[in-house]
Amino acid sequence: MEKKLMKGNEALAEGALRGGCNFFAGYPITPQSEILEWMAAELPKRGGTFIQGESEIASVNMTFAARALGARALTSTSGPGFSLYQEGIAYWVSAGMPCVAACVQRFGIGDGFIFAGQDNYWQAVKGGGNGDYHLITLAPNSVQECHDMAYESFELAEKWMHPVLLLSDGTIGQMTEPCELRPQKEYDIDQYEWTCSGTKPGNDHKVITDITYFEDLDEWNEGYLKKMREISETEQRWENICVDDADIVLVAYGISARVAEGAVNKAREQGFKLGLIRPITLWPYPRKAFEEIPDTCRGVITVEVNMMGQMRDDVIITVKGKYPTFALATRRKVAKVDEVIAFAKDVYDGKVKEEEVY
Amino acid sequence: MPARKAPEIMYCENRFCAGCGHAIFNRILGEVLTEMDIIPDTIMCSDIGCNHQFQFCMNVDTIVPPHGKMGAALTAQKRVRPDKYALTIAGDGGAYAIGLGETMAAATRNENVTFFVMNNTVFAMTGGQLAPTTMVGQKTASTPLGRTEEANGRSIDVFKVMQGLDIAYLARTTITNPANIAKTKKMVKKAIEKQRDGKGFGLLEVLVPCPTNWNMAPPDAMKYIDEVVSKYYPLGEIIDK
Repeated sequence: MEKKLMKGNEALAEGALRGGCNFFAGYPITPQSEILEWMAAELPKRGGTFIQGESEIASVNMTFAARALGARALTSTSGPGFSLYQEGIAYWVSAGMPCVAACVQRFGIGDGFIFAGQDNYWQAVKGGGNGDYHLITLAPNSVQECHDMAYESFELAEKWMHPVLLLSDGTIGQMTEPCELRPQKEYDIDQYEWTCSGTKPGNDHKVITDITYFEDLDEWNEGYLKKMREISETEQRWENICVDDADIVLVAYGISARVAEGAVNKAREQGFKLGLIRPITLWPYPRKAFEEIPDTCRGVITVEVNMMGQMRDDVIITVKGKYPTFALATRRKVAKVDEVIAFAKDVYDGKVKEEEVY
Repeated sequence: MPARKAPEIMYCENRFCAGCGHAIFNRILGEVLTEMDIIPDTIMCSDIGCNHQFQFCMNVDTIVPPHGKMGAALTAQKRVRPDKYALTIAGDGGAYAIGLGETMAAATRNENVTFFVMNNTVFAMTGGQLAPTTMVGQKTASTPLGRTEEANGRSIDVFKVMQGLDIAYLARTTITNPANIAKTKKMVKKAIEKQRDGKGFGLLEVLVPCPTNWNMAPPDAMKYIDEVVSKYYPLGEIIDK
């Protein structure tokens, strides 16, 4: 298999292309711009369509239109751009459009900053737009996973006829690592019946809009709930490292999972039994991963690059009070291995008070 | 006199209020698409508002992005499937208020897409509030004493906004009588032909009555367009390349 040294953002873009992506629209924003630039260079060469939209709002809706007409359509953004996407994404959901968005998280509220963060978690996994929905959310923690997740994202979205979000961050997007490139998938924009390609004589037209305008709202609601429950049951993904005998379990995704894994290895060398649950899907949240935690565990700690320990909410929902929960939310800085171990030891020794959720 | 039969594309009764201009325009567009034999080659982009009711009575493939975002969606439509006509029936609020940015961006790029903008001077579906096209002095649900320049700013005249752009077609028409309907039909066809010939962006604004929100009987609303609205917003073709 072809192997290349790449940035996470480039690997993500190339993964999407090899997964059959033939449309990209986006707007420049740090730290995701390499995705846009890669697509600008590569998509036209490979017979696809690249548009630099005049705004994020335009880009997210260009993605909708392209997908509705059959293209495998990707868009990517970060921070305030992701906020601007929320209306458009809600429309994708209501129309059942299997679009893919990537959000390369940066830190901060409003404009924020251009460096990495993990503070879009709530917005990413708890809906984000109006109405009841979740996005199927994949969280890469390496350049290879940026590639692999983008590669499979269209088929995952098409399987469920639902949008997929790739939730990366500025560090994962900007770091360079070796990446094994996947083989090219073939995709034809006329492959699916549901796309708008013109009403043939004698046929009924297709209208790609809120599905409930043409279907019974109550039936659709029941069907959507059923689908979400099925996704929740069948698509949970995670990686557990040394969880089954752990005295303290860390929970981390993306760049924080890389640090947490380092902490587990170093702590184990010191005889301190740390474990790590790494959610690979953030929605559905991998609740099954937590079944492996031993009853003797003294605490579950999320490690996150944000202020409020956003993911701890999902840990609390999952462990239902069985274990005390904590967040090592290191604000704008990625935690250091020793900092994680020290915090975990304090939890183990009962020195950290369990906080109320924000 | 026997009534002229609606073309097959109009598959059921429309849902508009009595005397609404949208229904007349939709019928005109349905006839043009039928006569040009391009229904299978057309993908409509809908706005949201009264205008989007066309999708429930016209048998033509349609996508519906968020309110006003037709400029962006049409751009993507035309580039993904350049062999299909990319047309929108927009409201004046969608095209010139919430979607003005996307409309102008598509126009400044001279995208090969076509806008049909229904100008009834109000946000009709939500009960007749101020639109960018509301005339100074005009009373609406959100300008109960009438629009003033001090409180609400000036009205938008798309001719003034777009006349300097390098686009293919810019015109305004109305549908107040059979002669105007016949004229409008020709302009609709011409606008679509610009796209067929790859000439670029076209926008045809249609002054349409909204008897419900203007608090007028349908014939009076037609008369109001002829005597007042079309004086404020002059008819004609100002770009025709």
